[in-house]
Amino acid sequence: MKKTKTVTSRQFQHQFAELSGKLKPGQSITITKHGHALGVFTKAVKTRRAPDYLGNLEKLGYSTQAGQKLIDEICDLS
Amino acid sequence: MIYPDLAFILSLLVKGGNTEKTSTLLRDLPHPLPLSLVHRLQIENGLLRSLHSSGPEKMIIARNSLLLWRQYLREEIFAIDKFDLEAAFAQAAAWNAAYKIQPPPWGLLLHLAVAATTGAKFMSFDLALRKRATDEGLAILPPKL
Repeated sequence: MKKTKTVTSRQFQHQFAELSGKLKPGQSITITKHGHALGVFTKAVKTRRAPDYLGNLEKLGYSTQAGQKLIDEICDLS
Repeated sequence: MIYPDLAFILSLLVKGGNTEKTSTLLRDLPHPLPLSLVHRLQIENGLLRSLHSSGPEKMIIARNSLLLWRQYLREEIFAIDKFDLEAAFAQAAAWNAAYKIQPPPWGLLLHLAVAATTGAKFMSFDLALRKRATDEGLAILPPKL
């Protein structure tokens, strides 16, 4: 099992921006005081609804063939 | 976790043959979609090159696609995450060296390697990449074409 990162309460207070910036959504760090666990901080997982991808593209009005040609060109170059 | 290949993401930005399928597949999946810096460079480079190329229709499509790309990043529909690209490059190079037939282009093989090194479900319509993913024991989406 992966061990959770541990920081002291002082580090947590003074380096909060840096510590939270390094965490991925859903990842946690344990905060300790005098060597004992005080609590756990978990970075929130942001969730979004999927947009109407197809609807957004259909408004643009060009043909599927022209679009697919561009997709193929970019993939061939990559 | 899910991880799409380049053509999969492009089909959300440019209307192509797989756009309807990708749109339907992603409808119920959690967003933001995790993308890598490799996606970002390939997409922005490809669209910018098309924007400055000849052919008015291609330029218009590229411009609209670039606007959508920027919008989805701003709205956090797409998120550029950190991946161990060093490990992914090493994995892609190892696969490339082991191919007995013509390998897929390295830029596409790299996405499969990123998915493999992170244990993500790989999203692709490319037959060669899907076969490689299956051979490596990765889950693929869509499960069937």
